[in-house]
This record gives sequence, C-alpha cells and structure tokens, in this order.
Amino acid sequence: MSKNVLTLDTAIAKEIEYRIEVGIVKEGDRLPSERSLAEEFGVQRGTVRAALKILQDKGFIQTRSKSGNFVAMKRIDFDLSAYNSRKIIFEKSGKTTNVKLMTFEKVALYGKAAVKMHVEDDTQVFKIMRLRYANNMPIALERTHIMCDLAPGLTEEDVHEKSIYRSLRQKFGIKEAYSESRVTAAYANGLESELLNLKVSHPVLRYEGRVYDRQNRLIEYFDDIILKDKVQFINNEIVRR
Amino acid sequence: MKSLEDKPSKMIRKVIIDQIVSGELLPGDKLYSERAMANMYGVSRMAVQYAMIALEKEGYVERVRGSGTYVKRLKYDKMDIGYFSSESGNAGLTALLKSYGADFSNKVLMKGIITGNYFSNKLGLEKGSRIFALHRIRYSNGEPFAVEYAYIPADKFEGIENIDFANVSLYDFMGSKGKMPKHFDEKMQIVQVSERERGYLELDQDEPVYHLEYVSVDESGDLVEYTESFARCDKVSVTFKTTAR
Repeated sequence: MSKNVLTLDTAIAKEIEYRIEVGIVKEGDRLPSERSLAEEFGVQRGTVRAALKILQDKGFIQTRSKSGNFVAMKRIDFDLSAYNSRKIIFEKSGKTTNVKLMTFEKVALYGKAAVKMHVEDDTQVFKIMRLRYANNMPIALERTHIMCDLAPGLTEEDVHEKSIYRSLRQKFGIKEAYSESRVTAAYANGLESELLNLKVSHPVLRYEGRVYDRQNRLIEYFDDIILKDKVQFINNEIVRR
Repeated sequence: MKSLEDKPSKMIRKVIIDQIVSGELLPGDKLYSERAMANMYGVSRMAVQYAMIALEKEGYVERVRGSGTYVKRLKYDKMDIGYFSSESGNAGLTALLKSYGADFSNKVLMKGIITGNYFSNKLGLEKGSRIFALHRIRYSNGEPFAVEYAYIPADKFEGIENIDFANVSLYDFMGSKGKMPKHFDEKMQIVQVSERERGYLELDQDEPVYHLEYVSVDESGDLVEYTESFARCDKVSVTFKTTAR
C-alpha cells in the first residue's frame, strides 16, 4: 500500500472497507483491537483511531464502548433500476420486515399540501402513516397519500400489514409505471424521533416522491423518514460479462 | 442600484432552476414557449428571452431552432456543467447544483499514483496495479459544493500524471484517449461529514452530506473510473426517476 499520496488514515480506512466489501469481515464481526491494527499496518494508534472514525462517520462500523468496534449492518439497497415494493426491497437484503399502521384517514388537501401533490385544492386523499421495522427494529416512518378517486373505498384492512400496492392492484387494478423522487437530509422532529427511537433533531434521510401509472395519473405522493445509516440508493447500468 | 432579484429575467431563471432542481423538470423535458412563459409569469417576452440565454450559457437548457427549449441532457463531465445525470434515460440518479450562476472552478488537492486493494477491486485490476488518484474540490461561484476523489487505472491512460487537472477537465482528457466514461454503476448515501471533508466543504458543523460513489466503463465496457464524492446537501439536490419493468 503506497503511503505517499493517500494520507495514512484514509489508506487504512479504505483497506478495512475493502475487507468488509469482499466479506473478509462480516456484519456483526468485531474488528481487531486498535493495537493489533496499528501493529498490522505499522502505524501509530492515533492513525488507526482516525481511520476508524472515518469508517464510523460513513456508517461502516459501530463503536460499542468497552466492547470495541463492530462491522455495521449492511445497508438496504433501494434499487432505482427496478421497481419493487418496500417489502421486496427489504427482503432482498435478507432482512425480515413488517409494518405497523399508525394512522389512516381520508382528508381533503389544500394550499401547500395540494401544491406538493400537484393537485387542485379540495382533492381527497387517503393519508396513511406506517412504521416500518427491519429485523424488529424501527427503520422508517412511511407517510403516503393515495388519490381517493383512483382507490375509492380503500380501507384500513387493505393497508394493515400488507403491501399497499398489492392491495391497489388487486382491488382497483392500479399498476405503478414510474416515479420521480428525491432524497434530502433532514432532522427528526418530535414525533419522528419518538417513533424511530432517536434523539430529537437527529439527522435522518427524507425520501419523498410521486408515483404515476401508465396513463400518467398520479397514484401516490410519499414522504418517508428513514434512518440514514440503514439504506442506500443504487442504480447499475453496467452489464458485466 | 436596483437589486438583481427585482429583475424579471432573474426571477424567471430562478423559477426554471428551482423546477429543474426539484425534479419537476427533468433532463430532456421541453419548456413552455417564450410567449407562454411571458403570459404565465406576467413579464415581457424579452425578460423570458434573457433568462433563456442565461440558462443556456450556464448549461441548464439548450435551445433547438424550430423546436423549442429543452432541459439539457448531460453529455460530458459529471460536475463540470453543474449536474450529473444517468444517460440511460428511463431510470437513474441526477445530482443537481442549486446554483444561480455557474462559474465553476476546481482546486486540485492531490494527484499521483497509488496502489490499494480497495481501488484495484473496484476497477477490476490485479492487486498492486498502478492507479492514478485525483482529489479535487469543486467550486461554483467560489464556494465549494463537492469534494471528489477520482481513481483512474494509470496504465490505460498514458501521461495522465503530467496533466494539469486544475484547468483540464478529467473527462475531456479521458475522451481524448478514446475512453470516455459512458455507463455508470451509482450508489448514493447520506452520511455524517468527516473532519477532512468538513474542512474542504467549509461546513461550520458536523452535518450530513451526500456520499456519491460511481464506477464507470467506456464504450467497449472497460472499467475506467471509480469516483467517490461528498457533496453539500444545501448546495446539491439529488433526484431519481424509477421505471417499472
């Protein structure tokens, strides 16, 4: 490993990242002690500590004081090139997932809320809030607005512990065609922090967007708060032979 | 002196840029005609024209004679013209600069040959292969919006160590060697900024930043680049389009 051009702590952090990426160390494994790592790489303990801090900031490792440093849970892939329900996304990452319905109401949108959904004032929507768990830990607060006139008669039962899109497809023949979304950094408010087991104003990831059907009709506007260390968004175009 | 914000054409420019940044207007979308916009926003056609000229100069739109004005699809360097977009059309990630004046510059932090398992693995190279590292801070109007760490297989690009990347665009150089990045595997996360990046990005406190990583291949499918980039959340916005199969 060349020392001149990359700083030592960066080079060491990258080497450990490599070991995590190729599976030399796995999720949940305890990393060697600072002292062993310093010996292995032939550097000062302070340098190792700096490398570990980089890995911690990026969410690769978790430090449990006294116990040491552990390889963090692999992030869940939100794959932009495929269109999968949340359930499938989580299951593909090898996590069990379930949702708990928090609120279900039918409301009329006005002003800012209507503008956000690109609809006129007084449009009726189903406002659904669910708390999603991965391996029994809360991971996301999913807030979705479904257009009433596309899914009249949607009930609580249709969204309780079920894939919303499955229900929409089966009951109303709705099929999602494409979505436009964005990801921003946000800070958890009172309700979000309580439901997600965080301190208030803890940094989180906000994932919001609109989903359309093949006729370009708006089906859903979603605005989710997700624990930022748990997910990543990927898009792979390269065909590997 | 009248504040620039009062001018109608600056207003139109801001509105269009906001729409592009929020994803309401996507690369390839056609804008309303100048006449329609003048009506919609209650300004003169001249004001709309000035705005379109400025937007075209800044690289946000392109005006096609006889056809209209379109939000520009990225052709070259990811960050040079201010935004970064997948060319596959249907799906992908777009990172946009929320900036109203596009005066871009780079500062080269470091460049040189390195080796490392992490990078060889990403670039499909043998262990110990020579890799050219180029670390740059990207500025728009003198303010940093991203810091980029690019890694290029040195043996595929003769003379890369001698190029002045403060002034030459990396992708222009790669294109000149017939190995322009064409297809990308992209990954995006939001992470806490590390101390080093915090300095480069001139952030006052520990804040979340976008962490973008991508690997690219040229037209013949050869891996030519691995880049890791940290971008300020207040200066860049990341949007996606997803299509069902």
